Amino acid sequence: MAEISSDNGRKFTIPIGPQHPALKEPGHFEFVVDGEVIQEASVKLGYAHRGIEKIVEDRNYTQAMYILERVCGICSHVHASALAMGAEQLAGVEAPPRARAIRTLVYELERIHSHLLWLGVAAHEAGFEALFMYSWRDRETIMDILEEISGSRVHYSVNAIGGVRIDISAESAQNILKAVDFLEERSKHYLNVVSSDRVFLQRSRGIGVMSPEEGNRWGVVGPVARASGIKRDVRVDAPYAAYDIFPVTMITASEGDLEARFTVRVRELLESTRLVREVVKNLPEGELTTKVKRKIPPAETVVRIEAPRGELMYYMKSNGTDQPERIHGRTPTIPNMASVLHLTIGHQLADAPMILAGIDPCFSCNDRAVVLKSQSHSDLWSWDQLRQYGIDRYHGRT
Amino acid sequence: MDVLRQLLIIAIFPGGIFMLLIGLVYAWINGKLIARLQNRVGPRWFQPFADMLKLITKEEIVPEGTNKLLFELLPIVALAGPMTAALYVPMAGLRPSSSFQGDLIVTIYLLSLMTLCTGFAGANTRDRFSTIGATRALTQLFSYEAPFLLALLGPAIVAGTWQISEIITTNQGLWLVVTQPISFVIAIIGLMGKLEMHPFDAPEAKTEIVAGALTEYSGRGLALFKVGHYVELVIGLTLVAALFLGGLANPLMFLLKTLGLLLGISFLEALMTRLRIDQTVGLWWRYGSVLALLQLVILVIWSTLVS
Amino acid sequence: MPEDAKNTEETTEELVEETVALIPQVEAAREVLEPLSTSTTASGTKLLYVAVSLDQLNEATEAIVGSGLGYLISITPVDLGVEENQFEVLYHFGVGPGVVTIRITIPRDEPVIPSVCEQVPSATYYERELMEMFGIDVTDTPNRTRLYLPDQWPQGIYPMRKDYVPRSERQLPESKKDKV
Repeated sequence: MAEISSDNGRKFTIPIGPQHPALKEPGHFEFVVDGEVIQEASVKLGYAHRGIEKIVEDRNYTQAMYILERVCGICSHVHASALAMGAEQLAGVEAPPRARAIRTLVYELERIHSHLLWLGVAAHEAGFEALFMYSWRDRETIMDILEEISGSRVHYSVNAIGGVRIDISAESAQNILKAVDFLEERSKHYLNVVSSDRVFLQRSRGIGVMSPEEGNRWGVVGPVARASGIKRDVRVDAPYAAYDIFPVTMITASEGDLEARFTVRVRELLESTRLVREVVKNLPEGELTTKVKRKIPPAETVVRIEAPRGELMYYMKSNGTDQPERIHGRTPTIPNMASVLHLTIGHQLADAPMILAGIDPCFSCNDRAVVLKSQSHSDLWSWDQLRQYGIDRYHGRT
Repeated sequence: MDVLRQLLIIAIFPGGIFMLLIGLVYAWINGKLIARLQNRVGPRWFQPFADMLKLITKEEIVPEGTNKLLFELLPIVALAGPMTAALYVPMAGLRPSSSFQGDLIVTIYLLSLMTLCTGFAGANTRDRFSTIGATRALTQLFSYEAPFLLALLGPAIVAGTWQISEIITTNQGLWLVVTQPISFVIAIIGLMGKLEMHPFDAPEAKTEIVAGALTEYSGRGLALFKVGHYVELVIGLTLVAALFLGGLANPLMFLLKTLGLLLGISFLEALMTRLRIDQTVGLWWRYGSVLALLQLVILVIWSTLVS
Repeated sequence: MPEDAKNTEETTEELVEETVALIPQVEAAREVLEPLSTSTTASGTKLLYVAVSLDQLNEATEAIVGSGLGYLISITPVDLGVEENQFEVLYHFGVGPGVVTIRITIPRDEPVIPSVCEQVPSATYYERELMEMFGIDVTDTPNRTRLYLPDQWPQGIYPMRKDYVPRSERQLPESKKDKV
């Protein structure tokens, strides 16, 4: 916490973060309030800065892909596939159709996972614990599916340079279809909840309104932009992977308030379930990878991907070796964060966590420990085993 | 012997140890019900006991810049208030151990001590979250207190007395929840506001102000505040059940009626989104007070017509 | 010092120029930027790199953003290394399905660029990143306080430069990464 006394008149600075129950990820916000109303807001980031852009300059493309996958604990696939796609563009090859379709499938599964997680977090910020618990329970379905097809719940490592590492078996396809049927049902229910629960609407309708003009000025992206009526979705604007074969319907709303951000995301859940179903049913046959040379000739490229939170961009430059010269990423949270600070001003302190959660800042998520024994067989550890493992490891340390 | 009996009443039943135990049990039931309604497993039966034990054994940190005496005294007063109130309500379906004309008013104000202490505790520390929490707690106190009192006046007016035991005996027969439904609803929701239960937990909204007024409390002080809340929950349930649900004839009726009310409260808690403090105040003054007054007017007119 | 096309030499060779027609939106952006650019490179049909001299940066930004052609996605600084003694700063604009990148080149020993916050207010977050990580001075960006680096990070050390040596290795007498 910052300094304790603040005697500048009646103004009062509320520090939120780096450690605060409202934030699951470190970030520091300072809200200057007058009574309950926020007058000024500022942000300090970088508590989770790991120098990944620097690290990858010393790694080859495959290693860099696995490191980039660790940028985010929720949308890991978009980062890894951005590097894979970038490397393919630099090398002048294209992944085979089946690989592109599988990437698309995982994009959409990840979007479902991320949006359900967000729904829970945002409901928690509003104090709607029941919705939080139910949406996270349903999220487990998608986590199980991701674990089944890739072997991991969060860092799926689906990509390889030039294609994908995993295949969708007929049995997995059935399980995926079953899971999205269930989730579609649930999403319809959530859509009903977020647009008709009157107590909840008191906390979301007309709160944090952003007009399209403001949105354009701050360069917001993703569902936040679409909730303000800005038609911006990379999947539609510049189809990548297999989005040209499986087109997406862009979901927008015009209100621009928190309610719109809720409904846009939940409707995107429905759209994603539709897409997943379509991709699984029409998966093209063929190879999973193409050969890419280890050394990539000097070139530069820009990759854009619609991550669950919005547009993700990577700039990549190769230098003729097997290591990238420069990789620069722009995650969707940065421009959206700029908008949040302006939206909170004039609102009540109680609304600030909800407006903040409304842009879905990239929260990390917890994970179970999975020990992979072989490529397909995974072994779950119980808490006791995990604890014993920790104790043994601690004692074995010299 | 009389002194010994008094001591027993204060230390064992219905004050003292009995209240602590039943408070913790009811807290567990409340937690478990909400957990099940939210599709969680919920705590095991000894969880509140374990929590309290842990808190009591922990070091209590007195932050800088606070009045140390006040800091240590407030949790004790906060627990003592509801403990004293236990003497005036028909705890466990038995006759109140102490009774006099006007004890209804005394009980209601003993129940308010908790919120006042929370407010003072927050204002006493210099932490920003505490200060905001204290402001909100006191704001909320001023909003629900009047409707809650008006709601409990209904049974008293019908019975023509301010004594809890007499109100119960005169109102045998038709349950007052049938004749005074508005008062009953306001009393239940007022109780939830008093206990800072879920839709009305803006004073301790953890996603905004960490733990509100009690942010700086740790160890024993926090334990006493928590137990005080649990005890107040039992007292409040007993009072409402006794006044509106046809009295508490025996321990079984006590359990059935209070747990029934608790189930209802847990449902409401699980269903609702937290209200902002301005929404809470608006709700109470715009609807709560008006409805409570309306009920009173109806009662007064009705009783004059009958007599 | 003349700022011309020779800085982009290593990027121009990769694809056949002028033979592939650009998609209409990117073509429109190319036409708008034509009078300001010192050299133009296309990569595929969707990516366009336009080199612009430093004092034309604001005009070029205005030309794309002001006309509603596109929006600023990000600003990428690239360290071309000690021998080249230059920084590249790339302004990526989303233009329909394509990306138009405005490239400016500045000397490494005097890295000063103007801010584009007049045209794009949200650019300040990227500009603060430039200042912290690369030590590129963005002269008139509204907020010059640190966004990412901790407060106790030493002044004048920029972690994303190519010649940055981590502190742990800096103190070793024989650093295996003797890049400086």
